[in-house]
Order: sequence, then C-alpha cells, then structure tokens
Amino acid sequence: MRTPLLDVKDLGVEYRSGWRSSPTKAVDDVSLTVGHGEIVGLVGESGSGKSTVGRAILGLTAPARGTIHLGGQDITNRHAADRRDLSTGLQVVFQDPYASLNPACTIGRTLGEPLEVHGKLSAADARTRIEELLTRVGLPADAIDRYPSAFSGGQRQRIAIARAISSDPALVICDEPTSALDVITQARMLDLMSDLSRERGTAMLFIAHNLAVVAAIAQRVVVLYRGRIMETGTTQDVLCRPLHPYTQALIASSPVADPLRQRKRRAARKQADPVAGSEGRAGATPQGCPFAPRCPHATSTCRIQRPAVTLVDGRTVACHLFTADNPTPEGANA
Amino acid sequence: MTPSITALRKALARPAVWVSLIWLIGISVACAMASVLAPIDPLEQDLSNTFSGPSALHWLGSDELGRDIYSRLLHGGGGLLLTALIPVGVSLLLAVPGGLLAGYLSGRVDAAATFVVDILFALPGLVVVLAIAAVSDNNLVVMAVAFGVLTSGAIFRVVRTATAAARELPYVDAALVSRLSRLRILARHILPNVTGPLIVQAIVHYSGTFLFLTSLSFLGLGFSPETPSWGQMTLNAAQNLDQHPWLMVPVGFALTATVLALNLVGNALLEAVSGHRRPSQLPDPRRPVPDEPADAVVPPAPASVLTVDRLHVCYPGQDGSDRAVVRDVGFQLQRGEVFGLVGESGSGKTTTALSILGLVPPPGRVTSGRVLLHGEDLLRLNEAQLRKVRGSRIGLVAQEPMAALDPSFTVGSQLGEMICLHRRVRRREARQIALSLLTRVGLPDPAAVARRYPHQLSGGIAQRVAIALALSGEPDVLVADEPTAALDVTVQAEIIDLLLHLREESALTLLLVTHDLGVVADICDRVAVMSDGRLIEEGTTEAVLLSPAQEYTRTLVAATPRLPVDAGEERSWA
Repeated sequence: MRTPLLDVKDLGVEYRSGWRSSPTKAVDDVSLTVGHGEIVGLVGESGSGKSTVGRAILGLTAPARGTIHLGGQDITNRHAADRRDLSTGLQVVFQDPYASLNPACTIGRTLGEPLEVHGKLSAADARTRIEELLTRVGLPADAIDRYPSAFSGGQRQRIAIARAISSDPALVICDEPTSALDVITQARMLDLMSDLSRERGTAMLFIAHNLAVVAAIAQRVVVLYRGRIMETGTTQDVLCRPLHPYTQALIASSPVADPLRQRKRRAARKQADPVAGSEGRAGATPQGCPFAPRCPHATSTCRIQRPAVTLVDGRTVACHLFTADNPTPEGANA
Repeated sequence: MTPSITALRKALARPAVWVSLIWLIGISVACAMASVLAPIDPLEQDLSNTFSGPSALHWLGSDELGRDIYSRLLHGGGGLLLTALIPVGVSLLLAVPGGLLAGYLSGRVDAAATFVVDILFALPGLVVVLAIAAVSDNNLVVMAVAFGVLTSGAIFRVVRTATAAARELPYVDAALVSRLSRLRILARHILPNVTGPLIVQAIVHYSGTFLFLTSLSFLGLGFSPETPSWGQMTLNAAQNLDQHPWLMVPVGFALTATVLALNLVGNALLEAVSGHRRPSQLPDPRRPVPDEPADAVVPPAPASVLTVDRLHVCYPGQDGSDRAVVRDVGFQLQRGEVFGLVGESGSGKTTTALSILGLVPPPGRVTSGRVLLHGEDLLRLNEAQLRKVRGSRIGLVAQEPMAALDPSFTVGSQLGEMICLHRRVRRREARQIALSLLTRVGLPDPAAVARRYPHQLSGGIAQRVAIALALSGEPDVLVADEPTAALDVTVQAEIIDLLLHLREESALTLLLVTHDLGVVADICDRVAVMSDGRLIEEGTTEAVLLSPAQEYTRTLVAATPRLPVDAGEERSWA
C-alpha cells in the first residue's frame, strides 16, 4: 500500500485559558489519513475540534501530542512560516469569504502570493497563469486588477479556491468553505471543487458541520465529537449504515428537503430511543466516552472507560457496542 | 478603488471636516508665509499706540508694548506647529516598530514591551519635561524629544492592538500557509491594517503635543522670550484680561480653532478607519404611514390570523432613488399553521418578517401595503400602539439567541420583567409564570436556569429561553427569523420539536423565516419562496418542494445537498 499523502497520528491539541488552569483538550487522540487525490470529509458540530485539526495540520496551531506527516515528511512541530523547504504543497480555503482576502490587495496580488515563494515564474508568466486560474474557477480574467470589494461572497470564495490551487498543492484543507454561502452558490462551489480535485489530482480535507454537504463531495468521512473520532469509513458506509450512536443521532437530526421522506424520518427519530437532551453534557467524564451522557445505549462502562477504536468491515468505530469479537451487536442500528 | 479610500472620501465630504482641513492648511500656509502676509515686524514696539484694538494699521490690534498682534500671531504659530512634529516623529519612530513586533511576536517580547510602556504611562510628563528643561538649559529640541519618548506609549498600544488583531485574520493565515516570509506578511498584510488607526492616533497625538508646547511657552519654557509664540501671547493676554479682554480673542481663537480642527479631522479619520457611522437601528417613530393598496377594501379570508397584502419595502439607493427590497409581497397565515418564508440571502424574507412588526431597520421603510392581524392593519398604528402589539400579540424569535438576551441580567429577571410588562401581574406571580414558561419550553430545571446569566447558557438553552421570552406576552403569532441557523443540527432538531409542540399545545401560528429547505420540509405546512424581493411561489410544502412550478424553486430544491437514504430510514419505510 502506498503511504498516504497526509498521515495524522494520535493528534492532541490543548488550549489554556490561564496560567494555572488545567488545559482543555480541543483535540484528543485523533488519527486520520488522506490519500493522494482523495477528498476526506471531517464532520462535527461546533466545539468538536474539527477546525483545530485543520489548523494543526496547516501549522497554525501547535499540537500538544501526536505526529503529522505530509508526503512522508514530518511537519508536526513546524510553524506554517517555517515550511519553505517542504516538497509537498499544502494550501487552505477558509470559511469567511470576506475576511480571507486582503481588501487592500488586488486579486492578482493575492493569487500571486503562493507563486512568489517558488520565484521561478516571470511577472508575465505569473500573470498568464493567474488569468488562466481565474477563468478556470469561473471568473472573468480581468478580475486580476480589481479589489475584493468588487466581488460577491460566492465569487470571493472562488478567488480563495483559485489562490489555494495556484501553486498546485497536493493537499488543500477546506475549513467550512461553503457554509457562508447560499445553497445555489454552494452547489456550484462543490461541483467546482470536485472537478478541480479530479482534474489536478488535488487531495482535500473537507471540514464541515453539514453531513449532506460532505456527502456531496467526500469519498471518506471522519466523524468528530468533542475532540475525538467517533467513526470513520467511506461516505456511503457512514451515512447509509452509521454504526456509532452519535453518527446515528447526527444523521437522524439532519432534516432532508423532501417533506414525505422527512415525515418518515421524523417519526423514526421519535420512535427510536429518545436521545437524552443535547444539554446533558455535564455527565461526560474525561476517562469515558464523550457521548455517553447523551447516548441511548450507554452503560456504566461507557462512563468510566474510553472505548477502543475498533475496526469493523474496513471502517473504524470508537464505541463499546463494538468489540473486535462482536462487530455487529443487536440493536446498534436502532 | 479600495474601500478605505471610499470611506475616506465620505469622511472628507462632511462640512465640519473640510472646514477644519481648510483652517489647518490655511493657518500653516499663513504661518509659513508670515513675513509676506504680515510685513510689520512682530517685535517692533510702539509705546504710543498700546492696546489699540483692531484698526487699519493693526488689523487685530496691538498689545501692551504696541506690537502688532496679527503679525505676532502669524510669526508665532510656525515655530509651534513645526516643533510639535518632533515629539510625534519620535513617538512614531519608537512605537511603530515596537508595536508591530510586540503585536506580531506576542509572548515574552510583548510582555517586556508592554511593561516598559506601562512605566512610561506612570511618569508625569510635565514634571519630567520641566526637570529636563532645567538640566538642558531650556533646550526646546531636547524637551520635545523627551516628550515624544514619554508619550510614545499611546501609539505603541494602538499599533500593538491593531497588529495582534490583524494577525488573527484568515488572509494572514492564508499568507502564512503560502510560506510567505514573515517580513513580507508584516509589510503587506498587517501594516495596512495598522496604518489607519496609526494615522488617527498620530493626529490626535499631534494635537496634544501642540497644546503641550503652547503650555510650555506659556510658562516661558523652550521658546525664547524675544520670539513671539502663541503661549507667550496667551500669557500677555491673561495678564491684561481685566482691562483689555480683546487681547485674548485673536490668540484664543487661533489656538482653539487649531486644536478643534485637528481633533475633528482625527475623529473623521477614525470613523473612516473603523467603518461607517452606525445609523440608529431603532425604527423612526415618525415614519410616514405607507400607502394603502388601491383596492384596500378586499377583506382577508375569515380564518386568516395574519395577512400580508401587497407589501412594498424600499431602501434609499446610493443615487437617491428608492430601491425596492420587498415588492408586492402577499400571503395569509391560518390559525395554528406553520408558514415558511424561504429564500437566499438578500431575497427580502427577513425584511418582510420585520415589517410585520414595524421593525424594518432604517433607512428602509414600508412604502405601501397592509399587514392585517385579526383584521387590524398594523402598518397604520403609531409607535405606542405598535409597542402593545409587539410581544403581546406577535412574538419574535431571532436567529442569534444571545442577541435577544441582556447579558447583565439573569434569565429569571428578564423573563419576569417581560411578564410584568405584558400581563400586569405582581412580581411574585410573574416569577411563577416565568418558571412555568421555562418548563413549557422544555427546560427540565427551570429554577436553575432562571438564576443563570445569558453567558452561562449553551446555544440551545439560550434559544429556548429566547422562545420563552417571546411567549411571555402570550402572543398567538410567533415570527421566527432563522431560529435554528446558529445551532448545531442535533440542537436544531430539539428546537424544531419544541416549536411543533407549542403549536399543538396552544394553536400558535408560526411564521418561520429560513434558508434551509430541510427545516421547511420538517416543520412547515405551507411555504412561500422569495427571490429578489418578490414572492415567486406559494403552496403546501409538499407541492412546492416536490413539484415546484417555478424554475427558480426547482434550482433551489436541486441545489440543496441531500443525504443518502440511511439504514434507519429503510427499516421504517418497510
């Protein structure tokens, strides 16, 4: 098997709010891989640590534990600015289309930035390249001399994508790139991103809170809850046959735009074991499963012992319902 | 044109600002050309013509030694205006690199620099400068430099804060990820964020320095007694104030006008830098009554609780003409119905909802139409009458629950206040009602929640409390503007369950504004689709979402990302 493009092992990121307070674990023991040209979705609700994982990979947040390898090179403790010698390109698209472009720089200047580092291109070549990029992401080539204020949110996000791919990186971290956009714009953006990934063989770590958005673009999905991985697998497996009770709750809570189907889903959700309110978080213990206080299947074991990551049919689940010798327990899909 | 230049132009267009600028430029030029404009020697004494008052010879009069005040004013300003540049320059030279480094590097460098600045702030500037005057043999330049060092702290703080804030910007992160050198990031992405506040601070600093130097010359320090200066003239005028008050007028005016103009320009720049002046968000109580549609006699359907009829909302455009953001929108809500208003951002859905409550943010206004609540036209009520409708007959649930809650009061006291206001009950009774309301919105321990402050609540609980607040006046219509958009999906599902439960329990009529077709499919009985200010399609949720008649609705439905059918669903379908 080829080594994965991105290999994150046992990543831990901590935040300290004061000198003496004990650190908060924003990311705890997260391991994930992204293959060459693959799009992996990283899904979680607010506070799940999904953006922090992305920032740690980008070198914008220092990890407390674990290792990060990109293209075989160890980039764990290297700040983004100290990665000039890296052979594998890494780029980013952020959520906020307004704050992610410098209002005082023309589009040409912004897009030229990743090219400057290589320094091989002449000014004229760089300009041609940037104009090609703009056309590719669906913007007029004359956008090059304009300022970000002349563009709508969707257009700005296209510019941000053009900046991300301009230096032909092997991996782009996309942190909620479409959640600030309207649905029609979002759909076009998702199409553009999958096309670009396919054309150029660019791998993406697609961070999002919306399962349906991830389903539209990712080949594999990693589900994060309160800093820990709950479940990983192919998009089809995780979304159609979720194993972890949290993934099940997440899918059941996401409404679909089909009223007939949604009515049945609502009835099914009501019928299923009532999941304790989302507010019952007080019971979570650091040594147990973070989802235990809300989980309908929780036992006393769940509260005191962290579930091991179990491999089930080529996917991983961190839940006591699944053990190596009992991969499909009764009622797990209820 | 970059946005900052646009903002700058706007700031300069205000009369107070350009009058100030003209004054500043005028006084600087006049002082520079003093020997031409005021040919009389400012030192020439004429003891036969003291305290003359304005005359053909002495335009602004003469002083106690018969010296020409006009000439002294022009000759005395230049030295001050120029010398005041020294401390500002010294401050900038020290504070800009220091502030950039401290803000960008943070950590220990920041702590050390901040410590030094704190010490500078603790030193009494005037006392130190007086001491320096004594040891430096009254050397003005040395005193000005010392003053610049002493006051560099203010500029340092501005630069440091702006740098630290700019460091967190996504485009700075993006530049870091693009492996741009730190120096280049500092120069290209961070410095432009700092220059705005820096210019403002420098002007404010200059104005302070100018006043300080005037005080020094008033005290007879720094400036030689032979050369005229505004401080010295003020001193002379003050000594003769009883008999010859006119003496104070020219120099007093020049001083005050210069400092005022500097501050006005500084403030205008500050506004340009920190964004536009925020207009009042309160609706204008004197808003004109909108036009009634031509055939206003058409009665609403009898079962309709709320009727919106041919509503038009306009905002003044940049060229002065009105720009319609809601055009000819009409729909009716039946009792106990959940009616969805969907559309993309800018479609006018929120404006439509807010105009029902008379809350269109200015300068927008309803230009015509009717909003009938049980047959009564809300658009024709005055502000006092509308206040009685809001909360007690129509409740509002906003997108951001924290915005609906006052951070400085407990949940219980806010809820109690609303209940007292709407239901005219005693405090103790209000407390009971508050607890029962909190129970009604599904909070298991209402007494504990009532004791908490908004910042202690999670998003889901805060939205439940906001719904309880909206219900405190027992309205029969609830307008919910994206009530779940800021929440996680699992919490969203619970809030939707709650809204449905409230509808069943008390036949609440719900107008739900949302962009999420999933939420519409989950909760709405009927739905109206808005685009570009118009209502383009309306019908039952099934009809609109499953067989949309309009092309736009079809695109919207097709663009909504869909979840694959999951195993749980398959089983329940079987």
